[in-house]
Amino acid sequence: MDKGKLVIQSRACIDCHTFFGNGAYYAPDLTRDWLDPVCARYAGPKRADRLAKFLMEPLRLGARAMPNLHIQRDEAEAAVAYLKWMSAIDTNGFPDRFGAPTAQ
Amino acid sequence: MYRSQRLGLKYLTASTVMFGAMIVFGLLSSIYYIQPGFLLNIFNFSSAKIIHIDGLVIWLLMGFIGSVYWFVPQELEREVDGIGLAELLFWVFCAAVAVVVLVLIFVQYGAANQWSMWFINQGRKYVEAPRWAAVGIVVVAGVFAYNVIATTVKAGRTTGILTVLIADLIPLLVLYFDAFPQLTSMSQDLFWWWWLVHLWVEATWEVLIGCIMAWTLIHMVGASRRVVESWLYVQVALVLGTGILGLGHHYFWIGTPRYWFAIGGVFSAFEPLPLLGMVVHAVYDAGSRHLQAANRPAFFWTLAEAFGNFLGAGVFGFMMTLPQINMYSHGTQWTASHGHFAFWGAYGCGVIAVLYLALEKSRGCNGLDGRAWKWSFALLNLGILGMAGALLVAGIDQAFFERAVGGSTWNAYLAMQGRPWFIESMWARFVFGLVFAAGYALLVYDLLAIGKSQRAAVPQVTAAAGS
Repeated sequence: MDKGKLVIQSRACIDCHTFFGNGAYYAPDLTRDWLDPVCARYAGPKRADRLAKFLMEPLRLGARAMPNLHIQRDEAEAAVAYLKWMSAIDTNGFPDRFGAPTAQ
Repeated sequence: MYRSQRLGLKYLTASTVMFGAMIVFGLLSSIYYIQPGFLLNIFNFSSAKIIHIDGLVIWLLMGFIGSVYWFVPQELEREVDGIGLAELLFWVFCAAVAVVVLVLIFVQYGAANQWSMWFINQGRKYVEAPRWAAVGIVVVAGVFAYNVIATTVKAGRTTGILTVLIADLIPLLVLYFDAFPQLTSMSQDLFWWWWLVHLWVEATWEVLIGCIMAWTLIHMVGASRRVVESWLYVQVALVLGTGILGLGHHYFWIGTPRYWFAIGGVFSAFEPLPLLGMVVHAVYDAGSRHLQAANRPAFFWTLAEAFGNFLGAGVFGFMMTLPQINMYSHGTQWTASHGHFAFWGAYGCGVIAVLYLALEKSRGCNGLDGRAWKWSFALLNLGILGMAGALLVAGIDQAFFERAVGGSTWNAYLAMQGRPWFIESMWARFVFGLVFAAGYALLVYDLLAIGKSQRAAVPQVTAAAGS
């Protein structure tokens, strides 16, 4: 977890993303990233692996493209473990209706 | 003029330069929203954003320090104690800021280790500057506090404003130690980080600008010290009474217990009260003087500070701090709208007011006026209102479609970024950013020129200043 947090700070993730809604607003919130339908469609260990690969070689997603921050394999795995850990924190229901079906 | 006042002018000049840097990187940040893929992997959004928001902190901090170095010798009628060290540290401070900016531009980020934390980027919003620079800020702030306290002690007397200022400088310095921790838990990290960010901005900085504006009113329009100090005490009581526990509105969703809903909600609701007091006071002062003052730019920037503080920090802040609303507004461009308006209204306008006041005295004028300041005043305020308005529209759109309807997933976020209202708002923000930048250019021109052709026969500040 220490390493995961260091990855998040060293790459200044909070200056594009938000954590618990705090940070910049240029990229999606990471509080529930591990549980997000985009990630949750991968079952078992595949989810961590796909997420780590994305961090190492990001893809363009709609209106946003994540930069390549030269995240190494061990760093990516630590960051993913951190995101998984963080997704279990009780945030008093924030964000509301997370993952609710949408008409969009 | 006292050496301390010359140092104050240097700080105010450096502050104005940093104000410009903040605008350049703010404009750059706004381009990424309307031009996806802009400078990707060369100079990413995060790098531009870091220099934008850290530049904001530094320009205001330098403005506050400069203002205090300007007023304190007048207040105590003596040179500031330890002025030589303060002068040395000014250059160290400027050099450190330049090195940090260069590192953030050319190095940007490092590997996940302590070296990166110490020498590249700490990756904590507003306090991204590497730890060595944070140590430097503690030293500068420490010497600054020493200067004020030692001068007061040596003078053997104090005033109400100075006492409030000294009482404020201590928490200001102590809270900055929150710029250092590297906590594993994001909940704990944010919990203490807010002690720095909130308690600086919504408590200690508010008291500091209260002291600075009190001195400004006394020196600008000859306001009664008794009246100004009485208002200051009331404001300090209200700011500390509401602002400290108003901290609770940052503890709704970060993994902290639910009792913060009640604490944050109630005290946030009271937070606009002291700011409303400032507006009442400002309207009274302005009305009683029929909008006339010898130094018209300083007078109007003071009025803008009172209104901007109330509207930007008070009204725009309250609008989104009740938990029922914050659930949807938090973490959207709504917050950015409040942030822009609040920092400008509460602090930016005040620093500019002091700049004009200091220029009047340092250039030996008896009052200041002209045309350029009016245009820069209009453009800067129009620019900020336009940016805050555009971001508010984008934020409300996000709160509804991305949060309340979309369920806050990645797809809801990304779909939102492509909605017409959002895109149009981002364009509007960019255009009003250009208006703001034009206002800044005129401000710089005016600051360089104003008063130089209208020097009065009676210099206001001499070696016997304050007498």
